[in-house]
Amino acid sequence: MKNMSIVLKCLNVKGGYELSEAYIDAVSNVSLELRTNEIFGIAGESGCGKSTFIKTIYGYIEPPLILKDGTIELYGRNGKTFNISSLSLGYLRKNVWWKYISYIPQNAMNVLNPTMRIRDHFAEIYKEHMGLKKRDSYTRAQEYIESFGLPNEVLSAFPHQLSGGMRQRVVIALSLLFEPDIVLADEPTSALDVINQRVSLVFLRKAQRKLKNTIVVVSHDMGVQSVLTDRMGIMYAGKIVEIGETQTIFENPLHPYTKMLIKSLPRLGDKTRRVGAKGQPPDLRNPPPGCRFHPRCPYSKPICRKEEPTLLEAEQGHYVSCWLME
Amino acid sequence: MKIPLSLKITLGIIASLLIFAFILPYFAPYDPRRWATVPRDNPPSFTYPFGTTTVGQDLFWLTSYALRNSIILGILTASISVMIAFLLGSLAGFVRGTISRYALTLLIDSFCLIPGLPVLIVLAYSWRKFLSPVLIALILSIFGWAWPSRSVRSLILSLRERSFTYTSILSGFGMMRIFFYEYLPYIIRWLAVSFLGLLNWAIGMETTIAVFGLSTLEEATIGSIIYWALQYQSILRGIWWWVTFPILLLAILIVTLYELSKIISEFTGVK
Amino acid sequence: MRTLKSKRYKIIFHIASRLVFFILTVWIGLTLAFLVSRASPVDPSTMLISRLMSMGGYLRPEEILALKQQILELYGLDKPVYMQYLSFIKGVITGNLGPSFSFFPTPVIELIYKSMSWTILLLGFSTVLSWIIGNVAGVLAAVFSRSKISKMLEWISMSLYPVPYVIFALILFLFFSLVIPLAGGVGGAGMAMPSLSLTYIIGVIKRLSVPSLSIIVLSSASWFLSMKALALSIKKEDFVNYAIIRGLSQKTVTKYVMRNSLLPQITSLALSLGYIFNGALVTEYIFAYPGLGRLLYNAIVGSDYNLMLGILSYSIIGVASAAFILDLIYPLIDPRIRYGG
Repeated sequence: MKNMSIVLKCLNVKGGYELSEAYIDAVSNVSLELRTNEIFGIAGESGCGKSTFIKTIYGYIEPPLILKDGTIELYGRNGKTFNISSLSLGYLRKNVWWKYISYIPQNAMNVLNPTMRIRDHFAEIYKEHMGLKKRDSYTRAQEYIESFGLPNEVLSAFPHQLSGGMRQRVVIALSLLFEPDIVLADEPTSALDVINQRVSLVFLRKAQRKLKNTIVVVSHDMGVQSVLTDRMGIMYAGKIVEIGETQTIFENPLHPYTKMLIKSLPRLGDKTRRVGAKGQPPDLRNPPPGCRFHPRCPYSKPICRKEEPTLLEAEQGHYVSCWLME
Repeated sequence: MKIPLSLKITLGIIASLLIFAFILPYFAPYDPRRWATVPRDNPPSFTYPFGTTTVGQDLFWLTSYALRNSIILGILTASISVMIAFLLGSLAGFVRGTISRYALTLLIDSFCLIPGLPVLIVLAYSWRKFLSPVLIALILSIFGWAWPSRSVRSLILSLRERSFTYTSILSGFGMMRIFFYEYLPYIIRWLAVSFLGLLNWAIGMETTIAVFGLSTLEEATIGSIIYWALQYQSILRGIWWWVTFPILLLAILIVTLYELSKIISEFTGVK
Repeated sequence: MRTLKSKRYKIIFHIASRLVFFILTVWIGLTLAFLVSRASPVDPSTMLISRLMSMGGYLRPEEILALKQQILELYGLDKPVYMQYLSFIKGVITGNLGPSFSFFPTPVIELIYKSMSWTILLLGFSTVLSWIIGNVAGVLAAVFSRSKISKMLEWISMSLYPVPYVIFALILFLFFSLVIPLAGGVGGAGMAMPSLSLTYIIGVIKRLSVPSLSIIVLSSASWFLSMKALALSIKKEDFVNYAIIRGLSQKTVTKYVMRNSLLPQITSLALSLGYIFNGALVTEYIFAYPGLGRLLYNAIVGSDYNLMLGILSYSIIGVASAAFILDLIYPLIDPRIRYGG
């Protein structure tokens, strides 16, 4: 039985991009709870607001990104609570980032500094957060790398000397350095080939099972979600439309959009035609009224065009936001 | 289409300078080059807005006349240079063979590195009896083409890399058609920016040669005015206007032309 | 991982290719110099003779003939073109370019040697200083791109950038002559003999100050603009973003940006040397600084064709050498060349 304590609570988070011509409503009234010792997935098409949501959770709010409303609270180990939504970047940088929550950005293969060796990447973080000297950092980094099963020579290499997959694993290892309570992984497998994808996923999951913390995996790839995550949330046009255990969602998807996403996945042995999700996600500068999915929904009713549905518990632990469920 | 304020101001200044240089000379009451037409060494006043020189020239009319020559010379140089640059640079960008590519790159890069001024000075000195604006333009063009050539070469190389070139090749377009339809907007932009840059460079270069005493003696250019002003020790003698007004006008012209090229490149850049 | 051998290969290959470029550039330059010298409507021997005649013509006919013969040999004008070319190249390499026309019979190389060190001093000092100032300011302006100072510096630099060295030198000259008159005047009086005494050194610094100011202000503006643009684009790169995400300090992030933008700026510097050199020449003339620029002007005034050619040849070699030295520094800083992958 999994430990049911909460590690992150998001309440009515509203955020987006303030541009000169318009406001892009990327995260529209999202409420979510993350538990300890789980891998939580956030799925949805590109542009639905997943990456923006991740940034707001992390607290990495820099113009033109703004947080309009809502609270994000992190409940760390040793009882410490951080109200991420109200803390300054400077405070977060010094006290929260990397220690309690870390981030694996998109395109992780290219985030390492080309002019620095891997061991210096480690040394930097050790120095910044723990004040360690270079020599000590190098020793620690060596033990750390070995515990992940990565070869020792990786440390003395420059990023361009390593393969893409290896760089990805280094970035994952870096994110777990201080055993944070939450790790946010933004599309951790998108830039990789299939083989490296699998290696990275296994790598990530093994790490989580060992540390028993929380990992949030943002990915548009439903295949990745099904393999990696314990629970997941489906996002569409800045809104969360369904939350539940991954297996339950795949076996019994309730929201029409979720059904569409799952249907577009190729399945071994299934010879029926793949149907891609029809239409395009809406322009978030001018989202449609009512349920944001109604223009693409094959089951839309008149009320869907007028009023937004709320997120309700359809069955144990399975939430959905759809007028069909009322 | 909204015309930004900066563009309006820039064009306004350039227009005024052009009027000053090309239209005003027709109204000159005397030949500004001739000596002893007006009282010497008069500071700027209502009658002589820019003052007069030690050899008795009205600086106002002289400057307008000289500016015209400097601009024409600059345009000539820029035109010749930009043609050479385009030829050599695009050749360097298109050629396949390793040796020819290396040779062309070497040629372009070495001409960028080699200090042009000493070369131009030796040439101008040898031909000083024959120096006319056209000859000077030709001489300056020996080096003018180098930097623009470099930029068009890298432009072409990056255009070739782009995916739309690949799709064009795949869809059966001939190289010529690719060139015209897809490259042309970029080429035109390069052309405008390079031409203006070359214009500035040429004017600056001519002034530099002139200060060394090697510019054309028959025609007056801004540079030659400065040369004579320095020769007559104008600054030491307190005849500051003889040097100041030409420099001022030239500086305004050059900075404005640069602004124009910046505006053009920003306006056509987003693609 | 990488064997020691392939490490060395990359560096050696880099050095070798730059050396080849250096040699070929000098070759092209000297060939150009040769062509230019022979593309004259008047041949050098006549030039020298008329020059000497105009000095008062104290020469007897036999002396004139002897001199003409000397010049003929010097330029090889009685030999076929390709032999002239070879002896010209040989002359440049061995430093034997014959006598100066205006300071006859002092060898050209001697005059050039004396002035060259002054020019190297001015150029070295100004270029290094302006490169550092411009680049550091540029990185800071990019990191703090929203600050008022950053925008103001950008505005100032954009106004200075297109101004030619000659114009700015003249403006500065006017300024220090009329507005803020400098003690001792711009362009300095005669200098004492070279020695290591304090007075001499102070004298050098005084002479150096205004011309180098002229070059430094303009060059800094140019480096500032290019660096700011470069650093801004680097700032957007993923690895800078990642540094911020990892909670690294502003100082560290700035170092990241700087380290990665300095590399292309070094390449830029190597290529711009020719342009800066041109600027230095005219600046030297305007401020009567005893470098190659003033020597060149004296050569022109003295119709000293031989000296002009000498200055031309050694300018080419000098600038190409400086660029080559810079090219050697590059692999020391770029790990991608040092440790190939």
